[in-house]
Amino acid sequence: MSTKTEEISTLIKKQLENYKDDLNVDEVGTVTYVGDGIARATGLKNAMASELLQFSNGSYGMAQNLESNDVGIIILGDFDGIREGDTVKRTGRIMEVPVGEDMIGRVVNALGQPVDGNGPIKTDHTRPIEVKAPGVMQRQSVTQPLQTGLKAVDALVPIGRGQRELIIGDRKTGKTSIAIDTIINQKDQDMICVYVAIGQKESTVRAQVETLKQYGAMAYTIVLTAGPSEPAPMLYIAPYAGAAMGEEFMYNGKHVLIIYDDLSKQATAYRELSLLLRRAPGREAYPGDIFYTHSRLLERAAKLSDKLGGGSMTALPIIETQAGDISAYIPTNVISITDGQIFLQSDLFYSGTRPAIDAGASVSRVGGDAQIKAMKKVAGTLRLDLASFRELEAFTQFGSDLDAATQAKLNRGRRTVEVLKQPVHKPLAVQYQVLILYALTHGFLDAIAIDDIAQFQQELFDYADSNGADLLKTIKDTGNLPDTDKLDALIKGFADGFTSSAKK
Amino acid sequence: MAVTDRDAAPRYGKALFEVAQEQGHLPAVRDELAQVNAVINATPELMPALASKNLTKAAKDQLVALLTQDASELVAHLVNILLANGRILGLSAVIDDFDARFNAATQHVEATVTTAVPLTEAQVQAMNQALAKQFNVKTVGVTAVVDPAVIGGVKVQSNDLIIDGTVKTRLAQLRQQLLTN
Repeated sequence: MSTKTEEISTLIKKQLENYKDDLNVDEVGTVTYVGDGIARATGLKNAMASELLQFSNGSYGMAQNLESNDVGIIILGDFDGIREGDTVKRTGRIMEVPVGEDMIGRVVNALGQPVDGNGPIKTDHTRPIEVKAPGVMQRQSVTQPLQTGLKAVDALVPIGRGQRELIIGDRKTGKTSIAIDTIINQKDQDMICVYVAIGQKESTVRAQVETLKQYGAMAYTIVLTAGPSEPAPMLYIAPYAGAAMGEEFMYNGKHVLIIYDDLSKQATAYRELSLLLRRAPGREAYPGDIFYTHSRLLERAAKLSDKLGGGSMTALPIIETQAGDISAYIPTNVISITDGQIFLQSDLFYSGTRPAIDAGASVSRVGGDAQIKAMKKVAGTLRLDLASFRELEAFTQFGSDLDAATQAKLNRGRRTVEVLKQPVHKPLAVQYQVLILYALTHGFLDAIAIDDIAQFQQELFDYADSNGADLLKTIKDTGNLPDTDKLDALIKGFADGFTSSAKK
Repeated sequence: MAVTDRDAAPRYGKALFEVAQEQGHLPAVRDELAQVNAVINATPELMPALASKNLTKAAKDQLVALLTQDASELVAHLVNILLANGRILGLSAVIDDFDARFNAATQHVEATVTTAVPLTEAQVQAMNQALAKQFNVKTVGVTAVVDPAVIGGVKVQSNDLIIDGTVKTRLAQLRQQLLTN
């Protein structure tokens, strides 16, 4: 027993050594209003913008409005215990979150605290959540592809590492599925993913985490969640916290994919707290700096110059539209900030074209440079073909007498739409994508019935795996299209022996 | 946005301070305002009554006359102007503002000193000098408070600054440190 006491006392002594006998000098203010996730306090004359403040119940807050005789504070955490007349003190720090390798595979909240019940996160690295984005000379142009594994995206709206591509569409059109599939496809791609769920139902987030786990994607993913039951300030800071976690890897020369799901909810949360902070409402009651809120966030996605390690952070923000209205305030803002958008349409979704990407309204402003050569060759005119097919389809809907050329075009168009369909959570490696798109654009599918295309595709891949592995390897390793004669022979050899399962 | 009583207080405070300075009555005015403030604090019903819509002007004038019966013309005028302008609820804020200006002009600081046991006269003197040096002012008005809950040590609170050397706070810190490690 005596030895144990001694042990304990040495331990305590050791800890006491860290304890400094200093006078506490605090600058304090007095809370004059508290409610709805925000507080106002008088005093705090020297408080800085976005400085971290501590309330007497231990909760932290962030100074937002600095006025002549009071400070508007957003409360990060519990505000039940805060009362009028309580003191609030300055900490002299600005808001930071823990970052680093140890965060990977964890589910955390907007403050970086674990919420997955797997114990504390041991990391002593932190980064401020608001930092200035890399400047002009710190960047380089986007050249490496980010393979989403979705034929419709990689062929029509290619995304490069360091790009910001908006995913936009009505509710229930598969926005999150595109993002999750992209994460799943980053396996063994030397990529770290950050999934920021803002205002998503806790049950949905749980389901996403389970999906990621099931496909082994949690091994390189951080999930940050700020649920709808949390106060608005947590939803507001969540994407900045996520960006800080991603930046840590980017500045260490790694590649990061960050998904903000979704920014319309963040805008709503920011509107809520801005109105409570008595900032003047503007269009759709959003505050005047709502554009800056999103632009400074998305500007942090970058492809760094080689001098800085050449790391990258690709951002896929998600915006939910109401009844397909992309000309509302927040959608237009974010469209103008990003380098392109993937527009999802509910009509297409319900007619069975999934992913429901609207080829006409979707663009990628920089990704074309990042596409591999083989893909560029096979998918070069796909977008235009698809657009002209849609036009022709609408035009010929009621006519029956069509010339052969028009028939052929419609025929090819229907097969294109069919080929671009893809089941959820089944990302496809780029060499297979090239193979099937090559078969499509070179007319090998024209004779196949539309209902058989999915089967044809699957069996073609299996056939190529055993009979044309070298060709696939060429595409994967060099990015170039292999000898076209060999490729033609391969596909022809398979197509000749193909029988529809309906006839079997 | 509507100008609140708190926003308006510096206007009245500044005007009052300048007039009192010109007339050379600064200390007298300050003492009178302190008395008015004491009356207000002692009778919490007074201010709501003066701001009430149910009371007639004559009744309010009577209350104001009572409040300012011993006061100088300047202070009486201040209260009357505030009543006439509908800013009577801001009276305390105006007095605070005046005090802040007076303290800044005379290089004086008010401080509340909390200890577990009453301070001796010599200790108060020493505290006065130390604080005057710390705040870089000529005089310090010390209000001593005895609170056994602090256990030991001293806590000084002045405006927005708290200098805390109490045993209570140190124990709390120690506890925090032991819990985190």
